[in-house]
Amino acid sequence: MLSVEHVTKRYGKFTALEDVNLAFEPGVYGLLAPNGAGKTTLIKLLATLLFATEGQILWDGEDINALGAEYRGLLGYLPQDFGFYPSYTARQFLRYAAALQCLPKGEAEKRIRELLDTVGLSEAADKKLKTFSGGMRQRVGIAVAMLTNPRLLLLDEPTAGLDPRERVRFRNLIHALSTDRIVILSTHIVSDIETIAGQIVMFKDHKLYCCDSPARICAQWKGKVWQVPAEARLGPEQLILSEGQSETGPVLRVLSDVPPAGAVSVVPSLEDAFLAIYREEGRA
Amino acid sequence: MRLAVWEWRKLFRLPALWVFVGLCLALNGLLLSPPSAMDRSFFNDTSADAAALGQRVDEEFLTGLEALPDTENRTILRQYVTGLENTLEGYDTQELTNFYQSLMAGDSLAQRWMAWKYDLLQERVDHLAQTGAALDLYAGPITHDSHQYLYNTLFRVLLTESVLLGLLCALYLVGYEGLSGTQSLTCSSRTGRGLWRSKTLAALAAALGLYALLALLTLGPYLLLWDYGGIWDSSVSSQFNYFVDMLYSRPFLTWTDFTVGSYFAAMIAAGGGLVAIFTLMGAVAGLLIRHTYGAAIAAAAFCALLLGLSSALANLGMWSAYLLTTFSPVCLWLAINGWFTELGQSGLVPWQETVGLALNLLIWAGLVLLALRRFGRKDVA
Repeated sequence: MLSVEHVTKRYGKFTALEDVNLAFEPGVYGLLAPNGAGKTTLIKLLATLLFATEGQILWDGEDINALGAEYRGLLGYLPQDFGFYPSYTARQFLRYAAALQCLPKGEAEKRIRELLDTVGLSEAADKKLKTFSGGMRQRVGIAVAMLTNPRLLLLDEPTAGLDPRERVRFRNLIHALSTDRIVILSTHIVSDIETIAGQIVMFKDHKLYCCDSPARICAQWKGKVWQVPAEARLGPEQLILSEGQSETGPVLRVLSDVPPAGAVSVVPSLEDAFLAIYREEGRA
Repeated sequence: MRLAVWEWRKLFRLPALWVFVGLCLALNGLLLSPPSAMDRSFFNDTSADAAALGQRVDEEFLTGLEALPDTENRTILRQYVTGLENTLEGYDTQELTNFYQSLMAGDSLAQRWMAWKYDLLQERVDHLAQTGAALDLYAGPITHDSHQYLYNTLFRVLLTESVLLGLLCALYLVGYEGLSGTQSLTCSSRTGRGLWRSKTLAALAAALGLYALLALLTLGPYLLLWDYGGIWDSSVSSQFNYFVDMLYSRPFLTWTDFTVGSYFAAMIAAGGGLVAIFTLMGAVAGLLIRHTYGAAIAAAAFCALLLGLSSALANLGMWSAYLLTTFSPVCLWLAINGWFTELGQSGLVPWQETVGLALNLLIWAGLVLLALRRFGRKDVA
């Protein structure tokens, strides 16, 4: 349905993405990588905000830039920094977004009412956006992105700056909206996508590292992640992934091909995989 | 249209816009007070007499004027209209050719251009002499002052304000999404980068609307204070009207027959053209620079550069090149008080302001299209 074919994006001598190939089918995709890895670049390429230096992005076999408005009409996009007009109310802003999407007025009003209800902002619909909290603004943003009931929903760091309660709420909302469409969600917060993404896309050195299910990504590290007491002595080949607390006291999660002394094997989590992949990159 | 309404909403919600409009109207209000009330009373009395007697100063007019009761203003008017002759009869534009050829000595091409222009003007002089336009009263002895007050002061200020408003409208609307951080949102919508086309058109319409508003609120009171009832039908080429360029005075010779009314309408329409040109210029600057303040500085610098270039070329005696710069929007603005005349050293061709405005409209509209095309292919950070 949506395919990225040999896409490279360069800014002068800097290469933000190199020869990326991806195919997206309906479902939730999590773009998981550290900051600066190229997640936002890919999202912006998909949103037609950036143009690929090489390669092409196809929707049902046609170049998205050639499709133009037709493609953008299928697209819902929540940018990383969701800009808004502070003096507009949520309803006014959605009306403006509906005009940009060329939605007929009657249809737009109906859709706006539904979406305000979906994102839990019916009560605050006629309050100015400048009085909204970060979470409320993000919900307005998702309502804007959902106005056309898009077949492709792009969410760039949608939970950045939200408190834990808002993040959970937002996650549930995305999960509810993910049926029958492609949702591509970029984040560097593992817990945001661990439970809702069917596929995880990872970038390393500005190249595609993997596109796989969380379970398969975690399975690559099976038998290599260990839990040891915090005071345990570790060899140079044993990489500390994270520190934590167990019933017996502070513990470390360690990546190692062989079990360290006193280690207990644990099931690798997506966070372990993320840390393992990018810690290795850091050590290199 | 729906998007244009949203763009106007953004623009007209800007308090600074209305503060600027308010300041413009206050300035225009101040300009409406001088010249002295005595001049105005003379103008209005003359207009009333012309309404009763007609504009053409002939025997019938003089007899009628004599029959009217004596007033201080009427006595002055009688002194000026008695023995009036058709001054355009036998007027030779060769003296204008000689004047400008001597000014442009050293540049034979510019001299030839001047000779060509004033040759063409001779046909107009002969025609106006035939129609007896010089015998029209207009406003009698205060014609030149009142004409210059209206067009060289009031209208110039009005147009300057409108041009600035046009630039502001274009720069603000084109840069609005950048200022509010909504560029990504708008560019990824179905409308996409096409929104900037709507913005340019909305800015153009808003600028012309604001020009109309300022014109109405400035020229409306002016026309209430200055009674044009008996004057609208006079020819602007009345011998009481004249045009001065390089301290050289000559009849007010227009390229077609203009009454005071049709000249007024033509000036308003041409003013709209100039406002549109500067609005398009603002849109080009905004689209190319994509930083509102930077674009404003660039537009101002560009205008200053045009003005400086024109002035430098004249000072260096490069008159042919100078004459080409007279088509620039800034030079057209400078020449407001002579629009539709031969414009002296500020005009290369007949209908210079009309040709200049049309050319600039085409050029700037073309540049807007190119800038929009470029914007449509550029990354949005």
